[in-house]
Amino acid sequence: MKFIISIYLGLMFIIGGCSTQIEDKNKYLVLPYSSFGPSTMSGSLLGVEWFQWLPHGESRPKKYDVNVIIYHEISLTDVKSIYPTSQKKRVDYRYISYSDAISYFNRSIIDVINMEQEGYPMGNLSQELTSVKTHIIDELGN
Amino acid sequence: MKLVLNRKKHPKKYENYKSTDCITYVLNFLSFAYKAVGNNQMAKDIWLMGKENRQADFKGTILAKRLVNNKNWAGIYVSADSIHPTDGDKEHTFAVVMAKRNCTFSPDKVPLKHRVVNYKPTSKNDPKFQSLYPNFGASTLNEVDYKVLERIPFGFGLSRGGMHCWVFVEGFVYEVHWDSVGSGLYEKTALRDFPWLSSAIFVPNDVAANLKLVTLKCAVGI
Repeated sequence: MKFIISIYLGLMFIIGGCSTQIEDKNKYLVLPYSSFGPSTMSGSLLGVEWFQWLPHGESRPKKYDVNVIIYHEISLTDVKSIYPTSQKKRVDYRYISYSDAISYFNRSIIDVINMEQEGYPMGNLSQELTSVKTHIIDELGN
Repeated sequence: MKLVLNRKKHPKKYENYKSTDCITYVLNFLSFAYKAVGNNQMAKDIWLMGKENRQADFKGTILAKRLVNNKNWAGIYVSADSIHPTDGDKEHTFAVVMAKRNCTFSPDKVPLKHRVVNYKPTSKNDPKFQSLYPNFGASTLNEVDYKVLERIPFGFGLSRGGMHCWVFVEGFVYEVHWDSVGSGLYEKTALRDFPWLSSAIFVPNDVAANLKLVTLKCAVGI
C-alpha cells in the first residue's frame, strides 16, 4: 500500500511539475536584442546594445550576447529570478512586459511604413518587425 | 579595464601605469584643448558635462548632447556607404535615415546638423554588397564632403549610438583601445578606413561656423 501511495504521489509531483513548466513557458519568451530592429530604434526601450554594466562598449565593433525577456502574466521579480542578469557570468537580460513589447512593435511598424512612404529605404524592416510581433503574440498572447 | 585586472595580478609591474578608456581619452583631450585656449572653466566643466549626474558613469552621448545644446557645437553624421555597409548591418542604413529625417543620432537623440555619406562606397564585388538593398546600385563617391571633414581641426566622434568614442583631427580618428597595454593602446585611422562604418562627429561652434557642408533640412532654423 505504502509503495502504491509513493508511486501515486511521485506521479502527481511529476505531472504537477510538468504542468507548471508548460504554464511558465507561456509566460515569458526569450529573444535576441536584435529581434527588436536596429538599436537606434530599439535602444530607448531596451537600453544600450552593449553589456549594461559597462559605461561603454569595446573599442572595436563587436556583437554582444544580450537577450530580451518578454514576460506576460508573471511578475518582473519572478522573471528576474528565473533569468537573472549576472555581470560575473556575463549574462545580460532586458525585461520587457508583453504590453510594452506589443506597443513598441505597433509603433515601430507604423513608423517604418511611414518612412517607406516618404521615400526612405527601409528594406524589409517592417515585415521583419511584423513577424517578430506575430511570434510574440503566438507564444504569449491570449 | 584590462589594466585594472593586470594591476590586481601584477601590482608591482603596473604600479606606475594609469588606466584609461575611450571617454576618458576624449575628455582629457577636450579639457586639455580648452585649457590651451585659456578657457580654464570649460577645461574643468567638461568633466561634469560627460555625466548625467555626479555619481553616474561618463557617457559620450550625454557629453555630445550638452555640447550641442549648451555650447552650440554641431553634429555631423558620417557613413562610408549609406546603402551598402560592408558588414551588412541595417543599423547603419537605419541610422542614416534618422540623421536625414529627424536630425538625431543614437537612441539618446543627440542633435545633428550635417550629414556626410558615401565617402567610401562599397564595391559591387563585395560579398555584403547585396545583403540589404540588392536592387540599389552602387553609391556614388562623395569626395567633396570628405575633403571638408579632412579640414576639421578638432572634434570628437561617437560610433554605434555611443558604444565607442574617439578624437577626430583632420580626417583621422584617434582612439584608445582600453583592453590594451603599451603599443596597442592608441591607434590612428583615416575616417574612410574606420571599421565602425558609420558614426557622428561633433565639432565646436567656431569650427562649425566655417564648415562648407549642407545643413540638414530638419536642422534649419535650430
